[in-house]
Amino acid sequence: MTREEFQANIIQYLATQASLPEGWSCGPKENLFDLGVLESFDLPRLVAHIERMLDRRADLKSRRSEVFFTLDTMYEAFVGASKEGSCAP
Amino acid sequence: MLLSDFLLQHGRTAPERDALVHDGVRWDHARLAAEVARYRTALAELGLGRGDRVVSRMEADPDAIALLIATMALGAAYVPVAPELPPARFEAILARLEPAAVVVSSDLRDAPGVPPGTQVGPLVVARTAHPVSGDTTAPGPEDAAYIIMTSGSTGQPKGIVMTHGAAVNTLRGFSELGVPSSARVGTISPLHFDFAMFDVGMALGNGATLVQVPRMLAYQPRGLVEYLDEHRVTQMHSVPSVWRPLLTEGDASLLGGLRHLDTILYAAESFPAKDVHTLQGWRPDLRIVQCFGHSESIGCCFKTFANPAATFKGRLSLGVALRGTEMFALDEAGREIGVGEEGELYVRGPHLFRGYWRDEAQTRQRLVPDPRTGEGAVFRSGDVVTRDEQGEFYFIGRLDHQVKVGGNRVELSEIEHVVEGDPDVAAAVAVVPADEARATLTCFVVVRGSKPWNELMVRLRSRMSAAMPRYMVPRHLRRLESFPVLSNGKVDRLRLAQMAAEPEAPAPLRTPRNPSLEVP
Repeated sequence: MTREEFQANIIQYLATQASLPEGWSCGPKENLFDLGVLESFDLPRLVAHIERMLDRRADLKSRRSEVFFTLDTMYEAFVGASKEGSCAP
Repeated sequence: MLLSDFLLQHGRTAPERDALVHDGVRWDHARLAAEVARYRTALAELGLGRGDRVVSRMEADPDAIALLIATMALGAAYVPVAPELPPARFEAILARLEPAAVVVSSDLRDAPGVPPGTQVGPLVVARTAHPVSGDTTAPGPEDAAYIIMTSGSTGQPKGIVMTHGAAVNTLRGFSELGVPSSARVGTISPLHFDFAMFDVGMALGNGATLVQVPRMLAYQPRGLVEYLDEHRVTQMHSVPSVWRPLLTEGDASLLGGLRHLDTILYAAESFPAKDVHTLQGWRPDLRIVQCFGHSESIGCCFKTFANPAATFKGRLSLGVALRGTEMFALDEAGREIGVGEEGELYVRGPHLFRGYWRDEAQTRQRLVPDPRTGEGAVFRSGDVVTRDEQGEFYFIGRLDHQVKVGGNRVELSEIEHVVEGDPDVAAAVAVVPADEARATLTCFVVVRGSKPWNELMVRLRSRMSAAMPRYMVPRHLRRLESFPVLSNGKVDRLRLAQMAAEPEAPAPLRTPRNPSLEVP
């Protein structure tokens, strides 16, 4: 999955979950918590969504909540890192 | 007895037994004692001793526990803070506490405010510019063991000072709920949350094993279940929020997959009775225990529920006071409440905190003479409770504007203080929506000037994120022309809480479209 595909998918997911207006978007480095789009209570559903999208279990054991701050950090953690074997197959 | 001795006492009789387990790491009690000695030596070589403060900033792992015990054993107060703390808040805490040392995990050695230090194992031990006490005498039960930094109503974090003697008294009281040395106690609370201290004390103090669960697994129910089962956790301690994703999935087999689990212990926030009943229905053999208390005492009571857990006025029991502790509640006239009546909870006993760090005024507000006799010192909790025929207490709410968010204590006035610091804000009121089981904060703002609201929201969010922990930053910011008020002129917080719960509440901040990332 490319970075663009991943991020577009997450944007669509967040827009649906938070009832954001059609066409809503954000930059890859914008902090989603600061924008009020995400908070810790939302993370279980977001993690489940990412796992469904990637069809594999995300390895969260060595992560901090910072990986969910931006679209970029999420991609690096769950897709980019998997190329180096950091995500469970 | 020192808290550090309490935690290490079983190492002498069963040195080969597991003390700490964390993912792929396992320390027996002998290894724990050796690591404690190593960190104690490192701190002593920096000149630290009795009466100093050591600020610790790291995730919970075996080395963090060894550092915690080593600090206390030396007579210094251990001060845990969150790894993700905003720099401004971290520096505010350092300025307030004047610690002689800061210890961080290696990945935080270059974080703002962290002085240069020496590598000791996986930690970096750094001396600050603040002087050491120079007191090398042995500490006693009256010395501060740790300081918990919590939200403060004046806009600054406040430090709750707990002594060795008070902490040991509390942990001994809670040991009566039954923690066998064969228990493997799961803990997922971060170290800056004193629930973690309770977990460490209940496990190590009873000769049991502490299984440290990575915090992010709270967001991944199946990962959490696998981890608990893999590490043979028998007794899981957490806030109710940790179990909520499992309940949301509604899959009873998840809980059934926890083959070794026999006890769920929760604290720090309410668990709706229906959720406890669901867990009991899924696993009738499970013992569910509610612990209740305050950071000012760690805890004061617990209740092991029957199956199904009984309710009184729709609430689950907090239980009765620990042995050696007294809980009582007074109505507005200062009379002890009767069955079904409501009043403010007071706690008396040898396990109370010493005071708020260098804050005499706040300490005097909470540690007060017993209103019934005018003597001694009791903790005035600010909690409203009721009681049943058996004398068991039930939590109703708060007298002040303190709320819990994921178990974290939040003074709403601290949020308001930060928001009102913006020159374009005339006034702010933070609330928890009236009908939400979870605390999703909303802050209402009355604006002055003509700054566009979207721009002001961006600035306010940045301001809050820089000043407060993430859990304190309200998800929703809403602009009002003025606040609803009561007949006495006070802001109608109840009405604002209802407004925050209304479905037409505006969506979170929208940013301009980014063409490169449009949804196809």
